Amino acid sequence: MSINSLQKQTNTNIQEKANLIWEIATHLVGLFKPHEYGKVILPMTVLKRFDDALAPTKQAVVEMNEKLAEMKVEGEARDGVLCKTSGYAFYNTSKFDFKKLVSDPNNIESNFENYLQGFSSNVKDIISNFKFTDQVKTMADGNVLFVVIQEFISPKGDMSPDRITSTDMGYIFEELIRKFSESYDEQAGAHFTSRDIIYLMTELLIAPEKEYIKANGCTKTAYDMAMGTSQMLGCLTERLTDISEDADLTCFGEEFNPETYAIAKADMLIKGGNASGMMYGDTLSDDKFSGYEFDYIISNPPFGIDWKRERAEVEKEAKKGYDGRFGPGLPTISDGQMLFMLNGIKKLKEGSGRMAIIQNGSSLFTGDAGSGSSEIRRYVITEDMVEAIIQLPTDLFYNTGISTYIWVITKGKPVHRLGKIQLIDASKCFVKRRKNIGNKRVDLDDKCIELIMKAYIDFSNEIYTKDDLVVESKTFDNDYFGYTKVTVMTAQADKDGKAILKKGKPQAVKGSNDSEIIPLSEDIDEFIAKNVLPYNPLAFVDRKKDKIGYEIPFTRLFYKFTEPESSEDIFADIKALEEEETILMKELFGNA
Amino acid sequence: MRDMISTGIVWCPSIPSDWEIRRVKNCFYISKVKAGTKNPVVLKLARSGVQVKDVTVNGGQMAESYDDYNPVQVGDLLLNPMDLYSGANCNVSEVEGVISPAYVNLRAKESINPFFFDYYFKIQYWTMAMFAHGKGVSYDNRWTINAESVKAYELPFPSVDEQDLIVDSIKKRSIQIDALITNAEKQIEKLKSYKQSVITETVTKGLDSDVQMKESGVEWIGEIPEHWQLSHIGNLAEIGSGGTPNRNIPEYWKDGTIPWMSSGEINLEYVNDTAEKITEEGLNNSNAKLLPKNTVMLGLIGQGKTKGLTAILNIECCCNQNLAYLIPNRFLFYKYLFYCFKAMYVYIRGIVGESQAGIYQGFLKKQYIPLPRISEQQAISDFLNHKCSQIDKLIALKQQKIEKLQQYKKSLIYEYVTGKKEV
Repeated sequence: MSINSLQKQTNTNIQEKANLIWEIATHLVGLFKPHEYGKVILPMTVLKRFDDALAPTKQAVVEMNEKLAEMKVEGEARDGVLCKTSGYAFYNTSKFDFKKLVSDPNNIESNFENYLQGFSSNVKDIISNFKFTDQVKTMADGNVLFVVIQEFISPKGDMSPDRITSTDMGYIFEELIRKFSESYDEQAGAHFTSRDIIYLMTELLIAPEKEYIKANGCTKTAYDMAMGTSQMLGCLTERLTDISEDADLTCFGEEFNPETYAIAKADMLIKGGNASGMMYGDTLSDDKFSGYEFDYIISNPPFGIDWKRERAEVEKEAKKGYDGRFGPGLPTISDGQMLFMLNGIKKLKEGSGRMAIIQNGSSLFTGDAGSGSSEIRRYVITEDMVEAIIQLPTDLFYNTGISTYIWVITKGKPVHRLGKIQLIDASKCFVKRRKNIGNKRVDLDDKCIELIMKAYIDFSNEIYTKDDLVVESKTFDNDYFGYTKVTVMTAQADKDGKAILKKGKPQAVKGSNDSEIIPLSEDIDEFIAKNVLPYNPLAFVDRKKDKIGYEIPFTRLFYKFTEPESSEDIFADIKALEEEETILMKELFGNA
Repeated sequence: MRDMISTGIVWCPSIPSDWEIRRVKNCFYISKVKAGTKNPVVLKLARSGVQVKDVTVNGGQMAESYDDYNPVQVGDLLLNPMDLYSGANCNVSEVEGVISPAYVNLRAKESINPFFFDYYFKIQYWTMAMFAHGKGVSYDNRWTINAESVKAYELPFPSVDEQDLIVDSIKKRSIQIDALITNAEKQIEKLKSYKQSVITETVTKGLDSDVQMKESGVEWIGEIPEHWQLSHIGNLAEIGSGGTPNRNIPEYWKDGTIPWMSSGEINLEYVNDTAEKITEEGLNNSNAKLLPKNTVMLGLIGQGKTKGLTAILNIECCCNQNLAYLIPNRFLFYKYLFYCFKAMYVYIRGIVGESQAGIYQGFLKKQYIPLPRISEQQAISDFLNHKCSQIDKLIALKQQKIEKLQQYKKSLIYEYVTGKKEV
């Protein structure tokens, strides 16, 4: 589904429904700050949806639970039976439901507690990560718990599955998440990537197989290593099922922030997705998906954030070399984004896995030859995993105005891309928003995405335009980005200016060390002969100190030289201006 | 046209066939030693040149120690590696001292002319080639060209004699061009004063120089034609000021359609639109009033130039509390009032003072203006409209010429240092 048509859809009853639910927050004014409303509204919405879904089987579940207790059936066996009885991946064994709760206003707090305890463990996990019992306490102390529950029983809170399909419920919930995220204002983007970017990433992921999926459907897995509210996984699913009804995507994700993790898991439960694939934890130090392989990886991991917290674990794993995730090397402690990239690479399905991951500019160039960052680049490039890097416009994200890049990394490059990297400059391909959200001042609309995808699929050296939009593509051999850093020294000389040799070797003048960056495509001896020796005949190189580095000078590669207008032409303009001046002077002052 | 060869370098595509390409490190040392001198002469790199920094003033700027600073000799070429997008940021020092180690200091290895390479780097900044060599996460001052890239930067290299000739030519031509620019700037200033005196003379003396005059008794007015009158502005116009709807109430501002003029917009002179708009609700719940077309506006406060400036509304509009509005009655033609205010600018500011003190409405009402018959006011306004627009056009032309001259200078430098123009 395109952004435009989707917005059309969410503008109608879904948006309306979400607004009605969000309005319940008016009862929270004063007790909670506006950016905290979501901490009540989101879990309450989840609980009420489950309450409505479970209503028809409620009695049966309560009875079955008593029977199981008598029979002393516990753990997974009990879980299995109760889920089967409820007809969902969750259940509630409490004798209370929303309706019964409001019939006893005096005991609402303790009854609600009993009701929450009755949920299956997956729902309880969500409740605890939302820290929902704290919010319940605040509501009870502020005397609004009753009225909030009552509001959710009113028609505006009716979410029974026969009225609202799970797909629509997913949209409604997402709309509520968006309202919540936007209420954070400038901090919104910390756990929220806007849809337009995700749509582009999705297109990039499915591009090679799009036609095949359209015709035959597919069964795929997807993973987001810093999933936030699982937006990206949700959009990817939506997009795939839109292309083919027979597309089946099983989602996995890990998230470190308890609240957004709870939202992600609740979202999956509501949509009837793979909720057990949503994991809480720190991807860098506590990998929940070690040994997994995925078809698609889509991620917007934090950039410019240090990994001090995870340092010990990461360094331990790095010692295992390529058995762990961090074989090629470790980036500087101040920025963990390339660690996320390595985590993704480890989990890409051999032969076909594809990853679209957002990075900022530093992954392109940071670190000297031989440093961890350069070694990571060397690894992904020489292993032929980088398909394309796309520079996005600035001001596209909610929380940052800086330049960002999508790296398309794959373990199954098509033949025509083998040994090559495509760079796409899409920094001038955007439409301005009428209203900013945080730092987000521009959007990628369908036309922008189409143009970028055209450039990506064409895989050539060309400038693409459509109306005001411009996208430029360039392709390079992998080696193009590699260089040797050669150490050059100046030999000590005798009074005739000849190098003094000791055991046949020249001796360096102290402090004369210099280095030369020599592209892999150039012969090192020839380079030295041409560029160094003519100016310093005593120069010599110690090839043992050679270091290989990799760097992608994106901005320089897309630089266009415009020659200044010729001085003759400017002179002609000046003369013309002077003539005009003379005429005007005459008009003003006469011929005096 | 001399014989040119292609270099394969994107940012310097061709040079004369008898020139070479050399890298910075082949011609310069990157001087990086610690000064360690007591009370050194501290330098700064400004666009106009390398200057001595007054470290005694500018509180807080007094660094505890200049030990880490880099010594600069006469003839050193200094580059700013951190500001790569706002124009040329390099110069050859003509003074000795120390400078912050944040700058790149290039010292010639042999007898070459550093000014030649300074001009070349200026071109590199202007054509954004320096920017393209930069790296960073965002395009602000963290976008930097590193020392390694500077050292490997490729330079066109003519013989030293030719370098000297080129530098001499550029210097000579630059001086000439700068003189033309200064001259045009002076003319612009003269034209502005001319405009001011034409306005003052016309609104106080009228268009007919043969009429009998009388003393007005008002300082800025002097003599006026005998058949004219004098009147308080308060008798000739409805005067008031505007207001600002509460900024915290979105309904007053969001999706507003009523133009609302802020103090800064007095500079527009003729107001055809405003940046901010308010809603009907905002208008009803504030001191803002909807003013008719042809209302004359006056800036009431502002330490800068705003106070005393005037403008005419070409649209229906409201305004904030720092602007006065004047809706003339049938004895006063709005444009004549507008020109009177222009004539009074220096006078009013002189009385009110340059401080933050504002112009009070009471004071404004009591100011005298000369008052010819309405038909004469119209004739004066028409005359001034025509005259002022001619002067403005001439000023605009001269400004355009200044820009062209600046471009011309850059172009000449480019053509000389890349050998397109022969000396």
